[in-house]
Amino acid sequence: MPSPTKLSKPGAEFIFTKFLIALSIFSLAFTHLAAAQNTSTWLQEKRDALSLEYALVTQNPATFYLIVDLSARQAHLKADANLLRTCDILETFGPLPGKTQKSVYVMEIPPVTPLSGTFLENQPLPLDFVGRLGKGPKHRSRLYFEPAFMIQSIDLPHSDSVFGLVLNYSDVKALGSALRPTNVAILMPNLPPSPGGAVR
Amino acid sequence: MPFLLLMLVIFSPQYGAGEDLSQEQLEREIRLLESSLEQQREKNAYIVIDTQHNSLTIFKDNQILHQAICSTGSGKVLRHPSKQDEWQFTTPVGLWHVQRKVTDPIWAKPVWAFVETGDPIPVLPWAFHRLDQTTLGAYALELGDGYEIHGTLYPALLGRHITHGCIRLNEDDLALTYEIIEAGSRVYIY
Repeated sequence: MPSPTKLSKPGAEFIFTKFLIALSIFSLAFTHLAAAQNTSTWLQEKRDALSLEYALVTQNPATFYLIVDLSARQAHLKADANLLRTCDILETFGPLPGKTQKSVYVMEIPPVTPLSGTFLENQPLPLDFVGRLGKGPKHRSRLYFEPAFMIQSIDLPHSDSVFGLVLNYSDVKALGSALRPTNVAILMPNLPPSPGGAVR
Repeated sequence: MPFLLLMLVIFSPQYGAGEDLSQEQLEREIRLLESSLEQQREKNAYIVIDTQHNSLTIFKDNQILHQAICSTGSGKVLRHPSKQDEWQFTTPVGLWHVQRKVTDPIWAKPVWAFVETGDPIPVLPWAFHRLDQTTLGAYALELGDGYEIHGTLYPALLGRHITHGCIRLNEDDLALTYEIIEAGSRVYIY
C-alpha cells in the first residue's frame, strides 16, 4: 500500500530528480540543435567555396589558384579544377577566418631585402651564381595575399595580427613559383566536418 | 509545462523536416557545383611539372599515377658573341598541351646549340649536321615553341636545373609517360 502522505507531499529528492530529467532533456535538445546548426553552417561554407571555385574556373581558365581547407589542414594548388599539388598545413597563426573568403595573391616577400643605396640594391640575396635560383622563390620567402593572409615556412617569425599558414620549405617554394599576382586563394574555415557523411 | 512544449517543438517531425529540407537544398546545390566542376576537369591523364624541385607527376582524376625526377631549364643566359641575339634557358611556366608524340625523334639543332659549343653555324636551316638522332632519346612529347619532354644522355644529372628549357626524363619514365599521355593532354608547369 502506498503511503498517502508521500503522494501528497513530494520530498526534495523527488523535485531534484524532476529537475535533473528536465535538464537532460534540455541538453539533448540543444545538442540536437547545435549539431543541425553545425551541419548547416558546414554545408553553407562548402557551397560558398565551391561557388567561388566554379566562378574562378569558368572565368579564368588555365589560371593557378589555391584552395585552403583549414578543416582538412591542407592547401591544394589547382588549375581548371585539376589538382596540381597538395600541401599539408603544419601550423596556423593569427585570427582564423570564420567564413569562406577569397584572397588575392599580391607578392612574394623575399627572405632578405637588400638596403637601398648599397651596391646590391634591387639584387636578390643570397647571391646565386647560377642566375636562375637567385631570382626564383626561396624556401624562406613569404607569400602575401590581400585581404591580409600570409603563407610562410617553418622557423620564421610571424605577426599574430595577420592570419597565416605555415607549410614546409618545398611547398612554399613551389607555391611561390606557381602563383602570380592576381591569382586567388579560397580559404575554407575550420569547421567540424558534417556528421552523417554529407556531401564532401 | 513550458519545458514540455519547447521539447515538443524541437523534436517535432515538422521541425526536423524543415531543417532537413534546407540541408537537402544545400546538399543538392553542392552536388550540382561538384558535377559542374567535374565537367571542367581534365578527363585524360595530365602532367604537372614542378620546376623548382625538378619533378614530373602524372595525374588522372586528381590521383597521382606516376612521379618521376626530371631536369628543367638552367636559367642561364647565352649571348651571341658577334650579334645581338640572346637566349635564356628557362622552362616556361603555365598551361601547355602535348602537340605531338614522336618516336625516335630527331633534333634539328637551333642556332644557340652551335653558339654554345662554339661550332660554325650552318647557313641552311635543313643542313645535315644540324640533325641529331641521339640527344632526345627514344621518345619526345612536343609542347610547342620548341619545348619538349624527352630523354637524356646524362641520367646522372636528372633532378638538376641543367636544360635549355626542355624537360628531360630517364628512359623508363619517358617510356611510361609516352604510353600514358595522349596527344592534346594538358601539361601544367610551375
